[in-house]
Amino acid sequence: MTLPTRHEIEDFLIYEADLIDTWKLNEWAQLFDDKGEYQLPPTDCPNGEPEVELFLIYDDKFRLEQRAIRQLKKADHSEFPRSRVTHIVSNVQVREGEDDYFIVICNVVVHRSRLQKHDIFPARCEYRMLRDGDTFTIRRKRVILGLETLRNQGKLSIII
Amino acid sequence: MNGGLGFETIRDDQEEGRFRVHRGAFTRDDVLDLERKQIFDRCWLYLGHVSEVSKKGDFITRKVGGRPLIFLRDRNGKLQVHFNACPHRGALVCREPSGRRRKSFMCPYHGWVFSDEGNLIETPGPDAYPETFNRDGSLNLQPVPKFDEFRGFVFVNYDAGAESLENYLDGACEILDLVASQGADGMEIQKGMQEYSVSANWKLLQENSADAYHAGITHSTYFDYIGARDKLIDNFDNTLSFGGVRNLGHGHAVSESLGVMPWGRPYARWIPSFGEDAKAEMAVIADEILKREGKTKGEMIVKGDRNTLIFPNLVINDIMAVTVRTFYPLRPDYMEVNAWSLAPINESPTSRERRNRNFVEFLGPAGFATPDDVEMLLQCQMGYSNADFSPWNDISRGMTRDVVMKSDEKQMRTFWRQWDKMLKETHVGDA
Repeated sequence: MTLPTRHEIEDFLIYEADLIDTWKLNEWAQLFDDKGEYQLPPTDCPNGEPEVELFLIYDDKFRLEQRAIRQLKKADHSEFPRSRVTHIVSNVQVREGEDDYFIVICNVVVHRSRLQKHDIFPARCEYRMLRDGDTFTIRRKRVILGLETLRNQGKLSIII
Repeated sequence: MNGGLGFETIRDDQEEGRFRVHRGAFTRDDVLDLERKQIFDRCWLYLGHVSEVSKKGDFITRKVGGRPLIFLRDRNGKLQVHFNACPHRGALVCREPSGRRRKSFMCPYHGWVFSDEGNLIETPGPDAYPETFNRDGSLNLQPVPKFDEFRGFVFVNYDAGAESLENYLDGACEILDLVASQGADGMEIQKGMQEYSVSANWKLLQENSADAYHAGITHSTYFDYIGARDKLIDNFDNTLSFGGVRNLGHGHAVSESLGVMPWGRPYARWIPSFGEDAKAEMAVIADEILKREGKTKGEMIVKGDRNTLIFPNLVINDIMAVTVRTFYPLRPDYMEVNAWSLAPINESPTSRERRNRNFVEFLGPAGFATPDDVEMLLQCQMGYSNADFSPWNDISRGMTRDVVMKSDEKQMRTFWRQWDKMLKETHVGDA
C-alpha cells in the first residue's frame, strides 16, 4: 500500500475539524466507513481497550451517527445553546497500518466556549483510515485526552 | 434553630401535601460549613471497593469527605485506611493514585518511612531524637477513626463514636446485597474511573440520581436513540408512572421497577442490538443467578432497575449497567464527582464488552444522558441566585398518593428529612 502524503492527510484532518467546528455533524459522521468507530479511553487508563476497560466513549457507526443527530437537537440540553468550538490540528504523522487501513496520528487542542466558561481539551488522536478515491474514510478514531481528569471541564458534550 | 442558620430550611406540610426546600440550602457557605460538621463528619462515607485492593500490597489514594486517604491491603491481607499526611510536617506520603506490591511509604519531603500498617519505621538521622520518640505512636500514619466493609463496599467514618456500618446502612443493606450477588465470584470495580465535576450544589446530584420524573424530558434524546436502535419504546410510559420508591431508613431510599425500562441489561434483559448471538449466553447468566439466589431474589437481580441513594453522597444505580457514584462539595456551588462501573468478577469477555458498551450509552461525562443532567444541575444553581425573591423548591410529587410510583419524589423527601434532622442535632461537646 502506498501511504498518502502528510499534506493529503492534513487537508482531510482540517476538513474534519471544520465540519465539527461549524456543527455539520451529520456530515462528520459520514466520514466514517460502515465499520466506523469513535472511541475515547478513560483519563486514568489512556492505553486501555474498550472491551476491557470502561471507556468514556465507545461508539459504533450507528451510535456515532446518533451522537451527531442528538447533538443537533434542541433537546441536547448540554449543547443548547451550542458551544463555540475551535479545533487546532497539529503534529500529524502517517504510518503503515494493518490489513486495509493505514494509521494517522495527530494532536488536537479543542477550545470550547459556553455559558461564560472556556474549556480546553488537548488530545492525541489515533486514526485508522482508508483511501476512498481521491479522499479518505475513517475506520476508527480514538481520542486520547491529554487530561488527568475531567474536573476542569465537567463534561464532554462536544466532538473532539 | 437549624443549627443556628437563622432561616427555615425545609417546610414539610404533610396535611396539605406540600414539601418545600429553601434554595438557601444550595447556596450558603454557612450551610456547607454546618454540613461538613454535622453530616460529613458523622455519616459513613463511601471510600472504595475491596476489589480495588484485592492483593497484598495493593493501594489506592483517594479523597473522602475532603480528606486525602490511603486505602491498602497490608502484607497480612488486612485492610488499612490511613490519613495521607506525614506526621512530621504534613506532606502527602503517597502521591500516586494507585499501585501494587507496596510494603512501605516514604514521605518525599524528609524521607520518613512508614510501613503498610502505618508504623514509622525509619527517620533519616535518628540520633537527633530522644529514645522515647514515637513511643506513643503519635508519629505513625494516623488511621481513620472508623472504617468497615459491607458486601465489598468499604466506608469510613470520622466520628469514633458512630454506630456500626450495618446499622447505619439499614434497609440499604438489601440493595447492596442485590448488587453484590450479581456475579457468582463476587463483584469488582472496573478500570476506567470517571472523574468529573459539576458547578452546582452536591445535594442536587443526590436528588437527580434517583429522579425518574425528569427522565422522559431531560433525556428525551437518549430515548430517541434507543428507540431508533431497538424499536422497543413505543409502549413505554415516559412519565415513568410505575414501579415504586422505598424509604430504606437513615435517609437512604430506592426508586425501583421490575422489567419495564426500555434499555438492555447486561445480564438478562436482551435487546435486539445485543445481537442474536448474545441471547443464549444471557439466558445462561440469568439461569445461574436464579438457581443460586432463588426465584424471588434472583428476579430482583436480573430484572430489577434500581436507583439507590445512600445518605449522604453515595449513589448505586443498577440500570443499563451498575454505576457507583460519589461526590463531595468544595464550595456550595461546586462538587467533585467520582464514578465507577461495578461488574462481576470473571465475567466472560463477550458479556463484559456488552456491559462496557451499554454503560456509556447513558452514563458518564460523555454519555448520551449524564451531560444533560450536569447541565440541568448547573441551570438550577444559576436559578438559585434568585432565592431572595423565589425561595422554595417544591418536591411534593406523589406526597398524597397511597401508592408511590417511581416518578414521585419520595426519595428526595427521605433525603431532606434526614438532612434537616442531622443539621439540627446537637452532640455532646457542642458549644
